Amino acid sequence: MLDTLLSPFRALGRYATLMGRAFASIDKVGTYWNNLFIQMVRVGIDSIPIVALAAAFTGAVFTVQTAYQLETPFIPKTIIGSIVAPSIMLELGAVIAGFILAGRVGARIAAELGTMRVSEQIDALEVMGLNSVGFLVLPRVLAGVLMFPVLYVVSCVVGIGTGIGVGHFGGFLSASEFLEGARQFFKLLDPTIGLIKSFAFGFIITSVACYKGYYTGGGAVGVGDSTTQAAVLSCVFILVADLLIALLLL
Amino acid sequence: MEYSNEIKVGIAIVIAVVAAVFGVRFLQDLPLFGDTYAVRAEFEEASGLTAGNPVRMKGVNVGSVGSIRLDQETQTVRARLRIEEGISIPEGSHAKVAGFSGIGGVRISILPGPRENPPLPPDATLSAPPEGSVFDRLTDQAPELANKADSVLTSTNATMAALSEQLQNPESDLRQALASANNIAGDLESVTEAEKETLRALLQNLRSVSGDLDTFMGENGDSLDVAVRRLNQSLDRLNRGLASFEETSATLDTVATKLNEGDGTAGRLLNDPTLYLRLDSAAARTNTLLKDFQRDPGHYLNDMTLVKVF
Repeated sequence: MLDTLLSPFRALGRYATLMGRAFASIDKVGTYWNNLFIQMVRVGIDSIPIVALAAAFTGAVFTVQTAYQLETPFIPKTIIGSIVAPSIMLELGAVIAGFILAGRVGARIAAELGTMRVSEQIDALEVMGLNSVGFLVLPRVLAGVLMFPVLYVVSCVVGIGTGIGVGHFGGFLSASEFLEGARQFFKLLDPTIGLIKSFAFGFIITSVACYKGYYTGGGAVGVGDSTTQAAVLSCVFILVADLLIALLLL
Repeated sequence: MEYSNEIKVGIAIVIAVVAAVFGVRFLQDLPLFGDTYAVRAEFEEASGLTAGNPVRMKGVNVGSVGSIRLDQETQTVRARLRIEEGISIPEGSHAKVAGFSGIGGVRISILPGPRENPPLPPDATLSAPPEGSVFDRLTDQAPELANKADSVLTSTNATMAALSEQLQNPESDLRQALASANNIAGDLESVTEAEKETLRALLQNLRSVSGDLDTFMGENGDSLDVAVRRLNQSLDRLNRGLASFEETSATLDTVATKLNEGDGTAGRLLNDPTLYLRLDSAAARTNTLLKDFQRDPGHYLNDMTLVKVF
């Protein structure tokens, strides 16, 4: 009973320790330079198409649905742009990209590290005298933190661009009306908070996945469990972090 | 060609940074490549103004609000504006918050100063226009209005005191005027009392005259009616006569005009002097002939055929 109650704290402690070990070896990141760029390509560049696709559909649907909800002569059409653009920059751009990455990147990292753990490759690295955390965890976490803002920008540009296109060609509002509304309510704080969220989400996805993968146990079933838990926990922590950042910065 | 991971990551980061910077500038309605300079503005009331709201001069977007904060010491709102390079704001310009925050249309409107003034340097401060709202002006003028009201009340007080003094002093002009008016009223009353009978008789006579007139009108109504009708007929005839006279007068006028102008026989008779001259000469010759006849009638009688027949 006590063990069950204490397990979340134990998990938090192990997670913090793992991150501490990872960032303690940041001075040796030059040693794993090549590994870092491999992870940046896998986490960032390879995720651009799926993030762009998700953002495009989100922007399009959001514009159409906002236009449907505001279909009254008392509200100017420019308000659609005033709602869609800030919402994508403030919330949807980062959160949609975060969910996509939690599934795509988080699951992959957890599966990779979990397999390495159950096949004792991590132990082998340790035996060879390599810092397994610095070699395996740090490049992945840094890749997430560095590349997620890039994906956030892609998500915002594609989402707003698709919103303008669908609004214009779908006959809901012209591109100039959309932009007029977007500019009317534009605040530099919106993309700034979105960018802060993207750093936080990148860190959460990769670090949770690394933690789950690094501490996998129990063979192939354990790898499956770790993969599932990494994706689910990443999504949950993204939502929690989203709320905390909103409460702190808005 | 195989690109290394470093190149791929580098290109992605550069593209993302460029897209973010240009996207933000695009949404801030700032020129993508042009630069901006900062101008400060002070207001008493921000009215929902936030960073990113547009700055307009004569209705044209010339920049945006960079930041806005409340100065605790002076209790004024201080805004930092980013104005597009190339847009010069003349010295003596003012800035005010315009639009309604309810529909998100809040903006800063710059009221430019005289065109010949030199442009404001960067980081200069724009003040609010001198004229506030009606309420502000009323608030500003409140002490002055209070002073004026005070002086009006004081003078009213003095006037009332002087009036009271005049009324209380038996020698004052006002008291004497009132006494005279009182006397006149008394005289009028006594006269009315004395002539009451006369006035009554006068009124009675007037009433009986009026009654007689009424009776007369009732008795001779038909005769009066006939008389009035005849009078109307006579007036009609007179009218027609006058019309005929006017017609005759017009004709005479035409004849007189023709005579004056020498038109027609009578006109020529009046205007042509040759006829007179011929008549004169004929009269002179006749005169000569008569004289000759008197002197020697036989000369003429012998030539007469009638005489020769007999």
